[in-house]
Amino acid sequence: MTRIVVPIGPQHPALKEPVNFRVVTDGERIVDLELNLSYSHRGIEKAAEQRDFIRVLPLIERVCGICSHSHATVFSKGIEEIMGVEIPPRAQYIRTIIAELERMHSHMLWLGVAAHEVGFNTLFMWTWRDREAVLDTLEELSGNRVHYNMNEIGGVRLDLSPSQVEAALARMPVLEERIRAYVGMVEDEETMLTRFRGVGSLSREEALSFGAVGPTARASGVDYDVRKDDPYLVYDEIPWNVVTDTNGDVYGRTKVRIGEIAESLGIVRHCLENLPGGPIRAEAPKAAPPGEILSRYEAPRGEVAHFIRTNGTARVERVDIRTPTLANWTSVAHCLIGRPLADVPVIVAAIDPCLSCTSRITLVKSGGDLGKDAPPPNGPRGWSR
Amino acid sequence: MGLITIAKTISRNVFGGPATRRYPAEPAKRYDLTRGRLVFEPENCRLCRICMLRCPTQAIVVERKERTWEIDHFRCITCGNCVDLCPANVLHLEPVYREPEADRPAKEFHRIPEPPPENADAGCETPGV
Repeated sequence: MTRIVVPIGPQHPALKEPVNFRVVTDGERIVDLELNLSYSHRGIEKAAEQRDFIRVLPLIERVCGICSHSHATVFSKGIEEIMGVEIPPRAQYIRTIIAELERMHSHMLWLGVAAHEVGFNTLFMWTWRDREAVLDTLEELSGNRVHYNMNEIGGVRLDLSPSQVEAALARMPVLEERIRAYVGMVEDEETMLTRFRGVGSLSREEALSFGAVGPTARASGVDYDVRKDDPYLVYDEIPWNVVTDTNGDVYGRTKVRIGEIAESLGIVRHCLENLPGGPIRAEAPKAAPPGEILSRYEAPRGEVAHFIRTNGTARVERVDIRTPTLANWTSVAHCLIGRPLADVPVIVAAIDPCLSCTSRITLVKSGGDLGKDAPPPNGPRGWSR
Repeated sequence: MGLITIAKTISRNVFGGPATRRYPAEPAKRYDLTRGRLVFEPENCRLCRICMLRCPTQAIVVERKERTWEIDHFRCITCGNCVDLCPANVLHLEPVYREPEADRPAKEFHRIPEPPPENADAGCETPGV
């Protein structure tokens, strides 16, 4: 049977960001896949080594546009832990509010994009219209729709006034009603169900062995959420639930994400209504003592981990960013084998890929005899980043 | 049942008006804190260079000897660090966005005037002695 290699990307109308799949098909079925990443590599980890803690936070925030607060918070959290600085409760609540609002708008964007990938543009327009309420709230609280620059080492930069809290709470009932409408739509809409059910199935064992994180893993029944398993900010003080599903396919991931929007709405409402008083920042020293830390956070796409090494100066010596999308790519590659070519956009969109987040470069020491670990003469197959 | 939902959706769309803002007839959406553009007032600048040292993108260049302050607006990400840290409060963020520019860089250049000389007789009971 003739095998055809279909290159998808890096420039492709179905992709939002550049990524390259070299898909080997047998007729309409995918039999093999090669994944080439790192088209959006910008050298942020190196640039971060040259900036002190005030200048580096906007840079770290710009690893990703849609999970910007995740990166800023996980970095601040790591540095604060190395320094031994405890941020005041009001700052923790404000960081949580922004984090959950970010999760809401990220999942709503995803829902629209997933609907768009199957051609259901009406839902795309509706979710993005309703997402505007969340973005307006974020702009009212922080000054910007994305890249809030809310954090500084030791706390948050801006306080929430009572009028801001009131305006934010006023937008919640409409959002709640719309989320209920989406739940109904996902369960009843036949066209969506045909494209989502049974597509991209990942069993629990496969999810665990491939190291899937976030809603991708939780849809396969893996009960892993950093907010519950390694709590930070106020997640161990307020009532909320982890949303899991047992379907393991794109339908399951849709249900998990919509459930998480509803949970986040509840968390935001609880935090806004129970905001403690007090200062919004603690005194933090200019330089961090030498140390290493692995700081973890539940970004909208899953677990983001920053490994930070400091050396006693006002800069980091090394920051290594492992984003959730990077962890989920192997499961995508696995899910695509055996599926028809038309399922590529849906399965890729189901992990909510953020290519800006993904692109990291790994330097491998070469030269000299690597023996059995030497890469094959025509370059490594499969992963190249 | 489906027909009722469809009828409701259609009537809401026909009689409800657009979901988008009719810009530019309606002004653009903004809030008090919206980080639109950076405004600099040169009169009270102390040339301390804190804004230059804390700018994440090195958009601001201050020359103490020449008494100049310059910003490249295309590099500025309106993060607000300089606004928060300026000891003389000469930097502000306004909610209105900048107009489009045709060329890079979009530099704004200011010469900081010399501070007025201290009046040697001020506060003296018998001036001129």
